[in-house]
This record gives sequence, C-alpha cells and structure tokens, in this order.
Amino acid sequence: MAFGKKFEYRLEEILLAFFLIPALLLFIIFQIVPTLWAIYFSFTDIALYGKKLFEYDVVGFKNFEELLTDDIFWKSFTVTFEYCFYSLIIRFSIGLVASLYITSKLFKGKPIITAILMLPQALPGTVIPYAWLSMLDTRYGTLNQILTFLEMQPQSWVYKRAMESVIMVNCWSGYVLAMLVISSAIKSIPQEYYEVCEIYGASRWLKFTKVTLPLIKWPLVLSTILIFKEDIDDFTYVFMLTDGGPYYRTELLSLYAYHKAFTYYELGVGCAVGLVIMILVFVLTLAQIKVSRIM
Amino acid sequence: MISKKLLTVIIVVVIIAGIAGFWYYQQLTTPKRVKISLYTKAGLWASFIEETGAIEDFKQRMLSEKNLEVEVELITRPHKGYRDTLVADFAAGTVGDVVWVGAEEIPGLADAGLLLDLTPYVEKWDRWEEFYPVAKELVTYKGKVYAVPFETAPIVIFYRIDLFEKAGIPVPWQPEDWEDIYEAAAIIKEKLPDVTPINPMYSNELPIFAAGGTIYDATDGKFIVKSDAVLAAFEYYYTIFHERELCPIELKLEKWDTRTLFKEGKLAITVDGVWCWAEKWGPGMPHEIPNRDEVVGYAMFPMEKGGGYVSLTGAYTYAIYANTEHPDLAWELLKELVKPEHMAEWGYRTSHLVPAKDAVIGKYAQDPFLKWSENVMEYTLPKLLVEDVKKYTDSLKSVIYDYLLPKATTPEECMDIFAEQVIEKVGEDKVKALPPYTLKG
Repeated sequence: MAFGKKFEYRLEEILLAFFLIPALLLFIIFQIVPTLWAIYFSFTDIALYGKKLFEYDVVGFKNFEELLTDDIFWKSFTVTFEYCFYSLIIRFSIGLVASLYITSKLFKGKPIITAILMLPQALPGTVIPYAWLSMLDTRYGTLNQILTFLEMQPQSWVYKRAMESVIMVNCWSGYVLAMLVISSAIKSIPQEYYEVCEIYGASRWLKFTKVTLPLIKWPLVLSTILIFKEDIDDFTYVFMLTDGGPYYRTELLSLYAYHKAFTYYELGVGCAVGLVIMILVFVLTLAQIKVSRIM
Repeated sequence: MISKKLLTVIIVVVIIAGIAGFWYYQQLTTPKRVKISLYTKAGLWASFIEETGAIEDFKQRMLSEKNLEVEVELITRPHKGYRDTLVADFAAGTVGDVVWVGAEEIPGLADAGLLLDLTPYVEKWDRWEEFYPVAKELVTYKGKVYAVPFETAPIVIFYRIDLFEKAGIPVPWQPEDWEDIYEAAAIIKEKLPDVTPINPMYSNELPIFAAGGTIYDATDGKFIVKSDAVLAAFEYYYTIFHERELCPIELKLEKWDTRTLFKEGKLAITVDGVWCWAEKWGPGMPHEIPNRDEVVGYAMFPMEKGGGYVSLTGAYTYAIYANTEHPDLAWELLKELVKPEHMAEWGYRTSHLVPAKDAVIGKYAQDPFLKWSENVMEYTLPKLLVEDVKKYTDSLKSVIYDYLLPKATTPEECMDIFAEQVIEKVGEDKVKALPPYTLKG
C-alpha cells in the first residue's frame, strides 16, 4: 500500500516535470543560450562585420580593460546613475501620490481617473517617444508653444535639456509601476486599524505616518528596487529621443552597448557592456528577492 | 492460352510501368519549385518593386526558360535604422538572397565573406559595359565586384529663389568659391533676419575634397588625418557656425528638420542630396513644395578657391548573400530588378541618378533637373570603399558635433582631436599627416 502511494506520488512528480518541459525548453533556448553566448562573446574580439565576424579570437579580459580605460564608458556609467536616481525620485513620488489618491475614500470618479492614470503604461513604448518628440520640438513643439504663449523663453528640450527631457518622458510613463505596487499594498492593510484610529480621533496625517507607512514599508522598498532595476537598462525612449546625445550627455549604458555593437560593430565590447549591466541587474534582483521574502 | 497467373502479372507490370511512366512524365513537365527572397526597405522601395512587376516578370521568365516555379519572398525592413538591421541580419544569416545594400557597407560585408563575388557574373553580362565608371567603382572592392548599382545621388546645393530675390541676390545663382557661399548667406542674414541663411553640410567630408584634398592615400593605404584640406574643412564649418554665424548651431545639434524649413521658406540655402528634388519636395511627397520649379534653385558645390566644382556620391545597390542556395537564380532576379526601365522610373520618381547609360530613357531623360544632375556627375567623386573608412567619417562627425559646434573649438584644435580619434580607432600605422603637419603636435 505504502509502495503504491509512493509510486503514485512519483508519477505525479514526473508528470509535473513533463508539463514543465516546454516552458523550460523555451526558457533555455531564448534566455539561457543567448545569455551564455553573449557572455562568451564578451571575452572575444568579435565584430558584427568585417573579417572579425567569423575569424575572432578569445581575448580574455581585454574588452573589460578597454571599458575601464574608456572615458565614454565612465561617462555613460555616471549618466546612467544620474538618470536612474532622478527617475527613481520622480517616479516613486508620483506613484506614491497617485496610489494614495486611488486608494483614498475621499474622492469620487476614481475608476475613470485610475483608468486615465494607467494610460501611459498601456501605450506601446515606441509610440511614446514619437508623441513626445513632437511636443519637445524647439520650433514647432507643443511645450515651447505653451511657453511662448505664457511669454516665457522657449527651451531647447532635446539638446540643452536632453537629460531632463528623457527623465521627464520616462517618469511620465513609468510612475504606474510604483502606483500599482503601493496601492495594492495599501489595499491589503486591514480596515480595522483605521477604525481604531478613528475611535481615538487620530488625524489623517497620524493615520498615514503611524499605520499606513509602517505597513507598506517593504512594498515601498520593493518598488524603489523595481524602478531602479527597470531604469538601469532603459533603452527605447533615450534611443528614440536623443540617441545618447548631445556629446554623450544621455548615453545610458544600454545605449553605449548598442552603439558599440551596432554602430561601431564591436560586438565583443558591446557584449562586455551587456555583461556589466547584467551583473548590476542581478545584484538588484537578489535584493528584490530578499525584500519580497520579508514582505 | 495464357494462364491467369501470367495475365495477372502482365497487367500488374503494365499498371506499374504506366504509373512509373506517368510519374516520370510529370517530373519532366511539372516545374520544379524553388523559393528565393528579396530583402529591401519597406514603404517606397518595396512598393516600387511591386509596382514595376519585376518579380512577376522574373517568375514568368524562369518558368518559360528554366521550367522553374519560383516563389519570391519579399523581406522588408524600415527605412529608419535600415543599415543597422541589415548588418545584424547579415551577421545572423537571416538576410535574403538578393539584398538592397548601401555601397558603403560593401567593404565590411565583403571582408566577412557575406557577399557573393559577382565578378564572374558581370563579366558575362553585356549590360555591365553600360554602367558608368564611377558607379562601377562604388561596388568594386579589392578588385572584385560585389553588387550592381541601382541609383547614385550626388550632393548639391539647393536654394530658395524667392528668398534670394527678396534679398536682392541675382538668380540663377552658382557660387564659384566658398566666399560666394558665405557672401550670399550673409546677405540673407542681413536682409531676411527670420530666415536661417544656410545648412552647410550633408556629407561632412565634402569640404575636404572641395579644398583640393582627399581622405585616403591608396598608394600607401593610409588615411589622411592632417592636411591643409582637412584644416580647410574645419575652417569652413567654423566660419559658418561661429565666425560669421550664418547658421545656428542648434540646427545641427537639435536635428532641425531642414527639409521642412526649406519647404516653408525658413531656410535659404541647403546642401543636400539630389533626391530631395523629387523624394522630399516633389508632388505627393511629405515635404511637397507646390510651386517647386519656380521657387527652388540648384547649384553645384564649388571648390574652396574656385576653379571647379565637386560632389560626392554613394550608391544603393543590389547584392547577393554569399550563403544563398541559389546564386544563379538570385543573379537572374537581380538582373530583372536593375532593368533600364526600372532604373529610369525610379530615378524619375525619386530624383536619383541612374548608374547606367542605357537607363537614360523615357521621362527620366526629359526631366530638366535630372539632365542638370547628370552634368554634376562630371564633378562627382565616388565615396571611398576601403576598410575602416566609416571609422574615419564617424570621427569627423564626432569632432564636428562634439567639439566644433557646441564648444566652438578652433579648426586647428579640431584637427588635432580628429587625428587622435582616428589613430585610436584605426591604429597609428594606418594614418598619416601631410606636410607641414605631423601626427604628434
């Protein structure tokens, strides 16, 4: 009898493993194999075209040494952290305010406003920069027309204020992530806590600082990690708005990798930059997992 | 009497022989099916191929001549970023059999062994003699032909006749030296303050040639990073952007749409490719200028101190992927695509120049602008096809856009930075400085 149960249990295990095979295969083919190739390429001098496309050599850490001595790489590194830092503050702040709004009982018409707040996330990533480009154009852009109407000085958005512009576009579309994480955390707080607060006549601020904030502490940490992780390998908006310019002022690491691989065709160096990004994201993911467990 | 058994055997044999005979007959008469692909730009380019009926004609010809039922798959990629996608597709092996390639990509792709050597094909092709030498040069690398040119497009100067007349500059206008360009732009600046006088560049290296120099010495295989001509080129940009302020630096740094500005009469002079005439400002195009023939004038780019004109041209070509399973068939498709009537029609529609004498026909041959452009070819140099040339031109662009424009770096300093950048990218053994300059200092 015991043997029969054990056999049944094993069979179930095998069956479950069997059902996992297709997903596992897809994961290996489309995630693991390309990643391993990219890691391998980062130690070679492979080029995307020319003789070095097929006749490449393993060069050890030469690509990484090249990166360490490349001023543009360090500039790109600094630019990436600047971009992530400001994006994080703005995305997080807007997300927090928006989540407080959509979880609040004070306002009416929240379903419609929530739907509107979700819109930036629903738009395809390639459409957003095009829409913004037309708004940011120095001569014909909507923003400068508004500034001119208000008798203010028009701005050179994609040149002199390139970094501000890309951060602005990123935050406009990216606050939704924080909004969703924080609002779901707020909604999971038992109502009894607030009822007790009301009995004791606690103010709204006290409720927020003494009940809401401590209970959503870890979701807040999680959302900052998620935002940072999302921004550190950002590509689309910056590529389409400024392409890293002017003078590398918006050259994020991902863009630097792209330019190395596809503009200068130094695929090996491009993969090395990719590996650096991967390590950064990996560390952030470990932190994310840790926080998720605490929650 | 034949026994029943024998009769059965005979019937079976006859049936089997009949089936075999029928199958063999079918094999002989049924066309063999083959699939090849054509890789090109989406939109205007792909639509043109479909409109010409070149693919259908090719299919018919293969059916009648070779008893082949050919399926042609049209693979398209967007115009924006086409070059990057093309190179990536080549490297990944996902490009088509026949490919629309810019001539400047030929060295890198040929060195990687990704392009089929078409020399044996063109040697047996009567039409090859009809192609202009400049066009042939654009597709020949290390003595081998890797593509067949379909269009060429020299760089010229366009100007707004109406703005010139308002400013009191006589038209038609043909600057004889760079000073003429500066003077006309300065008058526009003074008389029409709301108009941007000039957009001075399309191909950054053009002024080097216009100053009587070159960028590469084929005799020793070295790039020239310092010379009077290189310095003159930087001086040309410095004069226009900083010294005389004939063009705001934002026009380049903010990537203003110069075709729209020109269309709206907010830009008086622009250096651009001949294709703008039809492909940008022509009827039905996004930047259409309704009275184009009355308001748009054109001129050749002059040598620095006079004595002639100069232009540069690249080419778009059809090449064949080296790993194609059907090289002969791909060649047949390529020949169909580059027929004179297709070249002429494309040239007329987009104001690109045809690369072959026998394609100067029909509406193309009658068009006054294209006739004028054909004369420009007399002064036109082909863009250089050597390894690492892109690194040289990228460095030039980088120095102009990162130093000269935003920081007003002097021409002398720009040349030093430029030399450093090229040395870093291609190696010191592949560059040189012409007297009185030296690589160091």
